[in-house]
Parts: sequence; C-alpha cells; structure tokens
Amino acid sequence: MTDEDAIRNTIARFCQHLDSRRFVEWTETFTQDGTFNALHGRAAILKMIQGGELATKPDLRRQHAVTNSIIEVDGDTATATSDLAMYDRYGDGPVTVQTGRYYDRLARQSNGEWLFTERRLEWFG
Amino acid sequence: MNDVPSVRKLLALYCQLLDDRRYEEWSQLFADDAIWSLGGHDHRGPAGTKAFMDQLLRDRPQRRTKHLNTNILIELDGSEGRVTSDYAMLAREPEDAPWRPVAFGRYEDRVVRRADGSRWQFAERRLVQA
Repeated sequence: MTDEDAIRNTIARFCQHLDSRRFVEWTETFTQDGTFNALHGRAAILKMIQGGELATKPDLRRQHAVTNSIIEVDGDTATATSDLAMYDRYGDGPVTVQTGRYYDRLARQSNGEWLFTERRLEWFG
Repeated sequence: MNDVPSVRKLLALYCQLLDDRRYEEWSQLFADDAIWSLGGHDHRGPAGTKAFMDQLLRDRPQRRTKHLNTNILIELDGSEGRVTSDYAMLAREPEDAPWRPVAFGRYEDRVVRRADGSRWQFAERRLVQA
C-alpha cells in the first residue's frame, strides 16, 4: 500500500466512523493534538461532535461523501484537499445535499498510519 | 505488486456497468459463488445477480440511475480483502425527469483475487441502507 493509498483510507475512515456515529474512533483519525477548524485536540473535538446533530438527532441519516482528493506527500507529512457532498435524510423525507471542501495536513505515525494534524472544512455558502 | 488500483477499478466498474445497463459484463464482477445481499435477499454468483437486474429493468424500464461511490476504505491481505465504501444513488424516472438523489448507504465487501491473478472480484457485497 502506498502512502497515498493509506491517506485515502484515513479520509474514508473519517467519513465512515462519523456517519456511523462511532465518535471516539472518529476522533482517532486526528493526532492527539490535532486541529479541526478552531478546535484543538481529540478531547475538544469529541466534545463538539457529542453536541452535534448526529449525536442529538437519532432520526437523521447522513453521509459525508468525499471525492476529488488531491494528495501531496512530502516525506512524513502530506497535504490534501477534497470536495464534500453531504447528504441528509430525516426518516422517509427527501434527501438534501450541502457541499464544501476540506483542507488537510496529515502526518505519518510510527505504526505507518496517517492521521490528520489539521483539518479545515469550508462550506460552499 | 500493488493491488489497490485493481480493487478501485472493480468498484468503479460496478457503478459504471450497472448504470449503463451492461448487466452481462457487470455480473462477471462477482465470483462464481459470490453473494450480493440487498434488501434482506441474497443473490448468488453472476447468474443470480444478472437475473435480479434483468427483472428490475423489466419492472422499471423508464428509470435511469447514477451510482456515486466514495469514502473507499481498502484493507487487503494477500489474495483477499475487506472493503467498505459509501454510495449515493441519483435517479430519474421517467428518463427525461431531472436527476434527484434518492438513496444513500454503505457497501460492505469481501474481495478476492482470481486464482489466475488476472483481476479482483466480489466474493460478497452487502448493501446497508443509511
């Protein structure tokens, strides 16, 4: 598996854990002191998501569909930008879509895994 | 040898051939004893999966679909592997209606490399509706 393959897996894990409401596993796609938007560290990121829509609205089904990833590896660090289409559905209601872009920095860990040191999401209005 | 691109190709072919209604070629993406599980029913091997799609086309000839496959997580071990990924399905029915997102969910796959080494196939694909 190449570095780029491993980074794609990390980007996929972020989405799958989050949408399956595995919030602790989701925070583990960040380094211990990783940053998500204005939040620093896994503990702060976990606290935010535990108050968010996925945690508080059980009838919400959501998919973060991430695509168009551009990945640049430089030794043990990497940058990535990806596009997001986020699908939501409440009960049997209509599927709605919002879009955005992720700007990422990642670092290789001692076990070979790549984790986010910084992840920033900008919504497209 | 890096098998990951071959597995990505398998997943992309599933979507493209299905949406293009090329069911004969699409069904060959499944191993002979493969299980394709959706809606609580299992369909087995190329013959079983093709029969299901042929019937669906007879039932809804005016429906067109576009499967968008993202968030692909690939974990291979030798000639086997586990893959999970997400799909969103757009549809138009009748064929001149606008495209709308109608469903999304997750694929949970077991993939195998054919004994002759030529390509990867699905041993199991399970659709889990979100």
